[in-house]
Amino acid sequence: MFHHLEIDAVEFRVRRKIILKEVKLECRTGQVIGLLGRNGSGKSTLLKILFGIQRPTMAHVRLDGALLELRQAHRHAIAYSPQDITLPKDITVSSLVQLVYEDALSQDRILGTAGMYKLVTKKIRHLSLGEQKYLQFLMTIHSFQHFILLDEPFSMVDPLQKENIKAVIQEMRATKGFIVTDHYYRDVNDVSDNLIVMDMGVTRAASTTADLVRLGYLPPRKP
Amino acid sequence: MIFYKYLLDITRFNVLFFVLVWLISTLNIALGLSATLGMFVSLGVFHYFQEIEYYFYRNAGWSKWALFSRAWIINAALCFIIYLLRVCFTIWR
Repeated sequence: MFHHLEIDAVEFRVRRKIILKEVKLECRTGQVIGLLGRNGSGKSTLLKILFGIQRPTMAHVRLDGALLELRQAHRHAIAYSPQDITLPKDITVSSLVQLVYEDALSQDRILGTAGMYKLVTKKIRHLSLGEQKYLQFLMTIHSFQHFILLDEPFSMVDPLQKENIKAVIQEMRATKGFIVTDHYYRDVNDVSDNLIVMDMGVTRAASTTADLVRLGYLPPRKP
Repeated sequence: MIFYKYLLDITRFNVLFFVLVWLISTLNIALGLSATLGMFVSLGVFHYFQEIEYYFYRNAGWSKWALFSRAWIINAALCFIIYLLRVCFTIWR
């Protein structure tokens, strides 16, 4: 089913300091938006606002034309995989997957993904950081929500897992929309249809590397 | 199903609180405090060690408030059942 997420006029201030202003984004089912920006530009803050765990100064977000109450967004609309590992540690991979996904089909889709078969009997705490990150990515992307926010999915994972992550995003985009942010901008660019650069709390569209240089995200090329 | 993971985690802290209070007071006081203050202590301990897991639960559709309120009700009910059993046992004896 087709869904449309419209983010309009998101503003976030801490005391007098403006972190986000005039943030505008649109994401549809089947679309992958790449969100780039320098450290402290407000990317993670924006994702937390959309996930409903950071209260904005102002935000107008619509899902399929209807106003979306962000504090309730996790119930059907938005799932979020943050930079850090959020999975419980004292449980095996297969038990955790069975706990969250009660249907066998979803369990098979996660546990049958490339690179997962050797991890199923291990406890989460015994996985490497990259493996934990990969599992977290898979569990988020297979959640029931329509839109998936991925904060640094390519960090801490090896090159083969990066390719797996890209393949899974391409596979799942038939039914979901994605907003992906990472400093590995080439990987983000590989999976994205549109690139957005956040600069001084404002979103700006970019389509080429030259745009990323012009918007101050990449350093100018030396002659 | 995922709620039971949270319930188990937070109840584990509350059981520890219950045992500690029971050691220095009576069973009734331990039950009363576990059903009230103990849950806040457990919440604080969970926040300190496992706060980041709330993201995971939220992705599964559970907000922090939904998790805690249900866990509190179940813990309070358990304490009340134990209290009733104790009263019944005292009367029967």
